[in-house]
Amino acid sequence: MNATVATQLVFRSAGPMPMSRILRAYVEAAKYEFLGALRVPAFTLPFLFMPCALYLLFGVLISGAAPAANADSLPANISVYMMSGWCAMAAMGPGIFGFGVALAMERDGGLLKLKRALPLPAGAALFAKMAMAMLFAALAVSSVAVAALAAGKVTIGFGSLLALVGVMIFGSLPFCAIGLLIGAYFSGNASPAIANLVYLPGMWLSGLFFPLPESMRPWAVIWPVFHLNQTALGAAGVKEFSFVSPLWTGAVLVAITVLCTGLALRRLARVG
Amino acid sequence: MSSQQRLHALDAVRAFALLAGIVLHATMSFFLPIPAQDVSQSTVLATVFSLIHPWRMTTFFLIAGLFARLVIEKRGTRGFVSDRAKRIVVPLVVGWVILAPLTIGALIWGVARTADPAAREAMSAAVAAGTGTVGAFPLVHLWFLYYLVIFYVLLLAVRAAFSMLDSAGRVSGVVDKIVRPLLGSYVAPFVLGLPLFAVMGFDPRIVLMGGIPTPDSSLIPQLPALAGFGTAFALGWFVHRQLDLLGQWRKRWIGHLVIGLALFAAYSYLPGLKPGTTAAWLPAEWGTTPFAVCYILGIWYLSFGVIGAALKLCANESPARRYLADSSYWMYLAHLPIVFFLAAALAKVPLHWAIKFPLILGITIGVLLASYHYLVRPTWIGEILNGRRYPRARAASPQPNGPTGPKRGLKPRAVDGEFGAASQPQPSDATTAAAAAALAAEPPLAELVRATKRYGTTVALAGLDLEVRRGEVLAVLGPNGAGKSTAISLWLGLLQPDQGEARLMSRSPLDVEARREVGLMLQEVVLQPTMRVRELIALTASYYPSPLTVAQTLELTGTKELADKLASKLSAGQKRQVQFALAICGRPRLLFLDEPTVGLDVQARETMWRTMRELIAQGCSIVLTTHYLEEAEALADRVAVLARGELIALGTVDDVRSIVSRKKITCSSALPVGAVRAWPGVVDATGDHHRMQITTADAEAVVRRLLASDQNLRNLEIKQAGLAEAFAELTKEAA
Repeated sequence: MNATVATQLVFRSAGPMPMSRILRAYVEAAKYEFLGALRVPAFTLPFLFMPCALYLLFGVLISGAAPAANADSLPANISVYMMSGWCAMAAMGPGIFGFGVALAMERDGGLLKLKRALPLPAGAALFAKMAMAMLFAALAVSSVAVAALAAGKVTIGFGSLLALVGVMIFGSLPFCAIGLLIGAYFSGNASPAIANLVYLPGMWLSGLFFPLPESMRPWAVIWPVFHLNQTALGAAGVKEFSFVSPLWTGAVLVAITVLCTGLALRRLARVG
Repeated sequence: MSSQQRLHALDAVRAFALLAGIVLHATMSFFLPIPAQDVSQSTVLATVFSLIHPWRMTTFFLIAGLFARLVIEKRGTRGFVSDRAKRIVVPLVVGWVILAPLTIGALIWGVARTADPAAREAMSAAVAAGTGTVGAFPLVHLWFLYYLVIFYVLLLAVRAAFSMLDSAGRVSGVVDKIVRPLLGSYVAPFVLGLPLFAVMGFDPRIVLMGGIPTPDSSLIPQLPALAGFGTAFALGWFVHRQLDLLGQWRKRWIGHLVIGLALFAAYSYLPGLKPGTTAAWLPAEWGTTPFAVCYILGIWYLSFGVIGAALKLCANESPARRYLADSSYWMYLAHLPIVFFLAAALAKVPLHWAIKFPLILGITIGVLLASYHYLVRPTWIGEILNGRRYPRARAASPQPNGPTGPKRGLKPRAVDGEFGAASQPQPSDATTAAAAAALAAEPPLAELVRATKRYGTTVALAGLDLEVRRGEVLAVLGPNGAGKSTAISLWLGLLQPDQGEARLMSRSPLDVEARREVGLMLQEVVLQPTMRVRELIALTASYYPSPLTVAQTLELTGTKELADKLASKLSAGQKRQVQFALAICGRPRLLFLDEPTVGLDVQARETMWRTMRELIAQGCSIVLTTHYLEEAEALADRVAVLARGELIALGTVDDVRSIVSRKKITCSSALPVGAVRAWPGVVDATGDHHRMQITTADAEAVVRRLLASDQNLRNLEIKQAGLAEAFAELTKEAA
């Protein structure tokens, strides 16, 4: 205890919080959420590095080793379709798991209760998680795109590539909302299982990496990630693989975001 | 929610209904030929109209009924009559004399300028037919005051009759019993809609005129308006008898709005919502009755939804809303001539409605607000309309500065009557003196007022009254389950009281501004495991307006060595210390420490106590819950002892100690009770010579004297008294 420090302290009303400090509170919350996530290898490995690594394996090494004779029979821009699939996977993970599992655990541990009692500016806790998830998604998506550029697999213009990457990054938002919903309704133990139920089948059954058999195609629409992939491919103008208007799929993503966020906030307001 | 919050919300919704009326009238020229036929017709504005029309007057009359009972309860029948005469009858009569000619003038001018000849012909025929009928009278939009007066008269008559015939209030009791479950479900509109359905269910006017025909052209009371609005007025009256029923609307506001909007979609579709006059409003294949069913149910669901939304969203005092609510009565009274004049003047201007409509609304509201601010609020007109006059200099004069700053020094105004505060005392010498006295007795930093909280059937707090004063350390003692943590959770807004109220810095604990002056340490040990101690402090400090630096916090709490450790690597005791650092880093005025020293070793506990004393010396107040009487003894100015959710003792540590050490002596003795009561050391003595009960702080001395004074004393028994049992429990748990 240092008396010189202590005597400088006056515990009194400080008046209203200036806007600059409120903004700073949002920034600090987001910063530490991101730093905290970076410190957990179980989060960074699958969501930051895995998409790029898997893309390099399947999209570059294996497909590059395929016999060249087949090349003519493949549709144009198939390499962009491959890249887009891994980008969608990269965009999906941080939101679902970063929000869903982390929020459920915070609820279990009482951390959410503490955050509710502290004078966090409205929504700072959710904003921090969202910013973290979007930043993770941005890094992971960009790493796939850079890998594709480096491997010469990008057969569309640079502007189209930017559109695709941009849609993917913002496309992490609906998955944040889904994660929020999972985190709001399920316990820390159950939420990883539920998150995987959305994540894994979504990845395989929405035709991200290979065209689905005819009979399964109509069912792809039930997976949110299908809509993200279609929106991105549509926005990039990849006509060969754009099956639904990106306006429709974009609207579905917006609807998912609004619906899940609304339900989750309703639940959180009740049970905390 | 407190009754004051409820009244704020109801005042807001009444104002909203009135202001919505201004919007409604501004839409008319864009799809009706009234007051002029605009060249730019709009389905959107027709939709806006039919979305506002059903609920606004029903809502208004419902709240009018509720406030009517409030005023009668508060001021008696005589006071009610004189208040309503001043604030309803005078505006009706004077307002009509001034407003009706202006409104009708603007209307005639608008119709003559714009309507096509056929429509004009039809209108003048209708007017001619109307003027011929008995009682015809152009009430214009002031009809709502006329009907209020009718309802007041009916109300007083019915009330007088019942007080003679049913003085025990049996009928009211029965109605109460019916209203309660009805409002506790979603089916109430089906019952409440019956009177209006009986009158309008088979009357095509409900389609032609889009709802309850506006009774603005006759002095003879119109049956549809009486049935529709009268039901609302009566319902308001009965809701005020059981004000907690408002919670049902608050709870279901989204549900009510969703059902209301679905019904709106249905009844808009039935007649085919189109701009234009007669023909387009007629139902095509659908008959009158389906429309009437949808519309009447829609009236109630939308009304309940709007009121519920206000209760949910507008419960807190907001100066802006307060001002608007005060101004709304004037604005609604005066708006119609302005709106009609602007609509008529702009009708032929070749601009899109999306430009004209906001223009009309903007000019009208601007003119009305300015006139309110300068001509009404500070003058006798404001005194008549709102029951009080705001001196113009008031805004410039310095507000009494409470400890929480000038803005918070404004006392919430009592809303105790329709159209503002009917009985707000005028500033006078007496009230100024009272205000000074109130300032001297500072508002508590935190308070619970008759707070009750249940978990299922368990009562965690039973009507607890407790306040935390500035500069004090309040220790809350009690065994597990006594309600200590529940009390803290209420103060922090983590829980809401089932009844009563929790206030923090004279605000709702849900208000983030209030919590910015508070630091806290909850019982559960929770820290973000992935963060370092230094970062945890920096992050928590960022939530506060002028926090300590990280270095200061570390130094003050003796946690320097922990600064770079990850939270997941801390021991339980270290986590407790870090939580304490987080509690104080925001430089709070009030600290809530829930069992702060549990799990600490002696040295860490001493350090924490020392820091607390330092904070107290710097002006920080502390609420401390603990199992240990010694901890309270070491720090607290006052001790509150809780058991089973009730406050069983409150006072200084010494007070509580002396209560704890009391004993109860029972015996059979011939000694007179009155004499024993006067003995030194005796707190109280009751009973007779068969069985005397003596409460004492010094049992040994009293027993010695008893035995010495009465050789025949029998059945001597000594027991610990009241509080001591609670403490026995306490110490047992603490051990």
